[in-house]
Formats: sequence, C-alpha cells, structure tokens
Amino acid sequence: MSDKRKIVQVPIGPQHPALKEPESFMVDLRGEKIDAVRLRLGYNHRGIEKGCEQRTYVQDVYLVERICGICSTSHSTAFVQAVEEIAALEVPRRALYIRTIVAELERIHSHLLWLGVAGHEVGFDTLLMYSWRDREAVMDLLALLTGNRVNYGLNTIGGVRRDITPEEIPEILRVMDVLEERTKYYIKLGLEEETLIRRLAGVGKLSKEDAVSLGAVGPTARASGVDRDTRRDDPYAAYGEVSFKVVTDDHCDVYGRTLVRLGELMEAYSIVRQLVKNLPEGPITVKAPLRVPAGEAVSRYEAPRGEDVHYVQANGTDKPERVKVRAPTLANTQSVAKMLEDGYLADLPIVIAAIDPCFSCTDRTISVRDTARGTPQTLTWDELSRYGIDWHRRRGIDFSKVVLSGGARA
Amino acid sequence: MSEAEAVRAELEKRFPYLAGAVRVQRAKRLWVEVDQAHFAEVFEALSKKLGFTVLCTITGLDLGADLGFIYHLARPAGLMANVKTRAPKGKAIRSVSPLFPGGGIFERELIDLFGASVEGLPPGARYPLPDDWPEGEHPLLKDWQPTSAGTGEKGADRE
Amino acid sequence: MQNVSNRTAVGGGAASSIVLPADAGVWCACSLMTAERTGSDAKPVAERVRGSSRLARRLNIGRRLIRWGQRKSPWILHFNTGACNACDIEIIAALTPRFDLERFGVLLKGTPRHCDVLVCSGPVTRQIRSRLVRIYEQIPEPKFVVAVGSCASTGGVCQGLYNVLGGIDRAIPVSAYIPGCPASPQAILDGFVKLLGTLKEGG
Repeated sequence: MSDKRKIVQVPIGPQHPALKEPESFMVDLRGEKIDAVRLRLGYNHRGIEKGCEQRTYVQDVYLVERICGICSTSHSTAFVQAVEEIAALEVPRRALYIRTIVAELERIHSHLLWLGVAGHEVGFDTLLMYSWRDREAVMDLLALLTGNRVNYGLNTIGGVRRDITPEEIPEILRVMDVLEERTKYYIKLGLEEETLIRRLAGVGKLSKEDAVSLGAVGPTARASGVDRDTRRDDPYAAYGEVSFKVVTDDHCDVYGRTLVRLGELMEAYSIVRQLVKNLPEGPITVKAPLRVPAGEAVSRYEAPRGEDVHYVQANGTDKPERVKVRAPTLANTQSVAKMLEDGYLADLPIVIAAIDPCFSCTDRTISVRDTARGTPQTLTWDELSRYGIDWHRRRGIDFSKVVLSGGARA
Repeated sequence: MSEAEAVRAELEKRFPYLAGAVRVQRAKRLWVEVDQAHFAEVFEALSKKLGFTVLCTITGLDLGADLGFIYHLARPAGLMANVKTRAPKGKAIRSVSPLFPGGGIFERELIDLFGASVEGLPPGARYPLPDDWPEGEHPLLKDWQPTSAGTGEKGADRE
Repeated sequence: MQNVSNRTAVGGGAASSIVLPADAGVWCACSLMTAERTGSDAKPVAERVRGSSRLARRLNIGRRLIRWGQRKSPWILHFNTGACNACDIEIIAALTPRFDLERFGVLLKGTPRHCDVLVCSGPVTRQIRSRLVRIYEQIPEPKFVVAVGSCASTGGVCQGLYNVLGGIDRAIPVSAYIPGCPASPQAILDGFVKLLGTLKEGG
C-alpha cells in the first residue's frame, strides 16, 4: 500500500531563537512523521584553521578559544596540549590541576545551559529560568578565577596564566555545594516529573550500533550505552589523578541524554572537590619556546559535548604549519538524521537540542521547508518549536501545570 | 610489551613493507606511514581486525605537489593509530565511508578546502564552504590568499 | 535584582557601549542603502523617499505611537551571523532572572515581522550574509540593529579570516555597538538602556 500523503519539506530558517546559531536541516515529512533529513552545514564557517597558520602559537591560543563560546577552554586546552607535546614541555602539576578545575567548571556551566535550552525546547520555560539562574553561580566563579565569564584566557603554552589563590578555594567549594543541591533537585525532577518524562522518553532514538557506526561522541553516545569518555580512555591534564565514574545510560533517547548530563554534573562536583583538596604547590607555567621545533601531535579532550580532537603540525617557526580541529558536534550531527527518522516533526527541536549542538564548533545549518500542497512555506525554528509544544499539549503534555520549587539562592 | 608496541609488531608482521614506517610516539599514539597503493589494506586491517573502530577525523595537508591525508583512527579504549598517506594533487582517493558511514563529512572537508578528489562518497551537500564560493578556490592550500575570494579584506564586500 | 547602573567588575567586561543617534534621516538613508545593495525586490529610490515623507506627514500621530511602543517595549529578534556563540549565550542570559532584560519590556520574538530591534552577534560569514540582509528587510520600519560583541562590531578576533566580512555593519546599518568578548549581560543591558534613551530623544 503506497503512502498517499505528500512529502512536505519543512525549512527552519537559519535564524532561530532556540540555539542562537544559524542552522539548516532539510526535512521531508509524510504527514506528521519525518521521512528523511538532509543537512546543510557551513553557516558558521569562519576560516579559523587557515587563520591559525597565519598567527603565532600564542595568538592561536586566543583564536582557538573562540571557536566556541561555550566550550572555549576545551579548544584552548586541546590546542596547547598538542603544542606542548611537540615541544616536549613538562607542564607543572599545579597548572594541570587548575586546567582541570576550569575544565570541569566549564562542563558544569555547559550542562546547566543545556538543561535550560532543553526545557525551553519542550515548552518548559520555568526550567530554563531556574537552571540559568543556578548557572550564574558557576559563571561568577569562573569570572572570579579567570577574569571572564566565557573565553577565559586561562591557558598559555606551558601552563596557565592565572593561579588559584587560597582565598578562592572556599568559594569554589561553596558553589559546588550549592549546585549539587540544585542538581539533585533537577535529577529528582527528571526521574519523577511525569510531564517531562513523557516529552523526552522514546524520542530521538539512537541504537548503540548506530551510535558507534555513525561516530557519535559524548553524552549523545553514552546515552546509547557506548562506554567512551576521553578523560578515562586517553587521560590528559589531571584526570589521571582523580577518580570519577563515566556515566552511561541505556535509554538510547533524549531522556537518556538528559540523565547522562545530570549524572555528569554530579561527577563534576566530585572531581572539582578532589582537585581542590589535592591541589599541588609549585609554579603554574614553564617557559615555552617561541619557535616550536618541527613535529606533530594529536590532542584529545572530553568537551561537554564529546570528544574534541586537535591535530597540530609544527615546522620550526613561530607559526604552526597546520592546525586541524574536529569538534564533537561534527561527529554528532551525523547521528541526528538517524535519530529523526520515523519520528514526529513536533519532536524535531528537542531531538536536535539533545545532541547539545555547538554549531560554532562545527558550523551547521538546519532548515526545514514546508511545501504543503506544493506551495513552499517557510517556518522559523520558533514556529516549529511552538508547533511541537502545542502538538504535545493537545496530547496531554502541558508544562504550564508543573510547579518548580525555588531552591537555595545561588 | 605495551599495547602500542604490540600493534606495531602485529602491523609489521602482517605487512612487511611497513617495517620502519610505524612509530610509537607515546603510550597512546601510533603513527603509520603508508603509500596510496597499500593504504586500503592497512586501513582495513586496522579498523576491522585490530580493533580501531573509531575514526576521529581526517586531516588534509598541502605538501606541494601532493596532498597529504592523515586518518586518525582510535580504539574505543583510547589507543590512536594515525595513518598518513599522500597522493598527487588531482589524483582521486577512495572514500572510507563504506567502513565509516560517519566519515563522509571529513572527506567533504578535504574536497572543499584542499581540492581533493574522493571517489565513492554518497551524494550530499558540500561542507564547509558556502554555496556561492568560487569554483577552484581551495582556502587551505598554502598558496591560496584570502583576497582572491573577496572576503577577509576590510570593506571588501560592502558595496 | 542586579542594578544596571551599578557597574561591577564581575566578568571583567566593560559595561559600556556606544549608541549612534537613530533619527529618521539615518533610517531613510539606511533603507535606501539596503535597497540599492540588494537590488531586485527593492523599490526605486525616488519612490521610497517620496513615500516615506508623505507617510510621515500623514501618520505623525501614528509615528509617535509606534515610537512610544518601541520605547516602552521593544521586541527583539536575535540572529547569529557566525559567532562562536558566547555573545548569544550572554544575550539569552540577559533575559534570565538575574539580569532580566524583560523588565525593560524587551521580549524575544521568533520572527522578523514582529520585532523592533535586530540583535546580531557574529562577524557575518559569507554564507549567512544574504540571509542577514533578507531578515533585515523583513523587519518593518522603524527598526534598529544592535551589534553585540567584538566580532559583530569590528570582526574582533575573526578579522582577516577568509570566510567572514568582519562586522555587522558591512552588511546592514547598525544603530548600536556593544563591545566585549563576549559582551557581558551587564554591557548588553547598558546598551539597551542607552538605545531606549535615544528613542526617547528622537521621539
């Protein structure tokens, strides 16, 4: 029996309030169900790899940091690690600890950010406001430690630029305590709030086999039972000296991805406490040569979104010969088409949001074009998001009835 | 013998021509240099028989008359095998997307940014350059200058 | 709630911004520039000038009403033209309870047809440029553009990269620049307050 419903292509213009990044997916619909998805990436491509070849290593630390404004220290650390390996620099332990502390703080801010965005995508704006308000605690902490809320300028070749003073340590521990309480509440919400579970469970399914063959990384892969985490498998910075669990889940859907990120938040608080408790004395940097001797290295880093890979080739001058960046979201978008297959259009925004796409790391575009009855119509992302929220509301999922408790002031 | 050393021994046993071409940089980093003629069998052995089931990315290099390609493979548990090969500019290489469906996007990058020619890629949109990027301009080639495509210069696109 | 005029050093970013006076002359000129630049669907120059001045005379009350609405409750559309996302997150953060841009009546809308102010981040990549211009044209007059962040203002760290134009004003006219890398929510609030102030003057 042939399906007589028309194929509808729904475009979401590159302007969308949801993830604040220009994106374009081409979605073919049959009625309500998604038939196929085609990706068009490229709206955020700026030319950074070429820019790296034209700038010195030190300038590149700052350029590379701005590949992504959410996982900025991920890129900066991955880059300096590769250069330090080529130059055979022995980075002081204290510097490694500081890098790791900031890395975990970044993971915390990123996952709380994601929680809010996911809430927004399903129509749960209160969750957005709550989680972003809580997130301000870690933003203030990052500003205290590094001087900026984002793009910290923490790293230099050979170590870090700023030290953690003894006065800052109680503040770090205090924020970890506050956020741990709040995260426990969000976990409780995730496990008990029926409305949220109904909206997230069974959506965006990605089997373990598909996650592996399509190269998914990070929480997206771990929520499909793929037990991979660069911090444990290819330890860098101070991760070899702390103990932590790699959080995996078997739901293989958006709900699983939510649980994995919440679990990683709890692990992050534990890691930061261990690091602060065992922070070694000593210098925070070693002298690095201006001209890095010829050589090459691959550096891997577990960014909040997954494995970030940097390849650097040096040629004996003060500028790199080649810098290659493979950000985690590029690996994850390949899976999105699979996740959306046979799903409902109404679930598209949350499925895409669930891979926590950082399109500036990867620069992608999503456009879903609506050609009902042959007449092309453009929907914005917000309209599609609204459509999804209303569609689910008609089926009984209504977040306006959910009341959150306020919790401690961050 | 460390894990990396064990892999090197295994590679040199299977492919005697690789003697001297496999380098252990450190515990988790192997480098393998292989010519295009033997690339497919080495790559397949690593990914299918020796457990390197993760393709992290493919790096393109401009080596003058040739283009260089580094396939960054890894075992799920962390050991990386970086396979380097090269081909003259203009000569096509085979896509690895049959073995790694998610790897096509890395090859599209090579096509756009280096002008590489890749056979066997399934149809799909270009990446990462824009639709109106001029033909034949490949930004990551060493002799390519930004001004030749119009952007990057102050006021270039302001009419 | 954070007091906007209390400029703390948290975040390290300077809570300052530059706002160009936005008056009718500038809008007309900007609209003309846009029309000429993008060509095909733009009306002839003379017709646009004649049209707006006749409309202005007839709808003086209407114009004041519109301006009052914009001043009291400017609706914004957020657009990322290829940024690293830091500024975009700070813009959203400015709308969350701690900084609360909404107390100025600012609402984040999803479509250009409903907005008064286009808030842009990013250095304008080549791919996004035509979309940016199209969106700008879809916004009904009178409209304003705010460039948030160093990349949006001057290209910032992306100056000289091959796929970027180097700033929002290379594609569309800009009313206000909010510098910073990223622009902190305090700076964004400050910029908005200044922009609303000039609306009052122009009113």
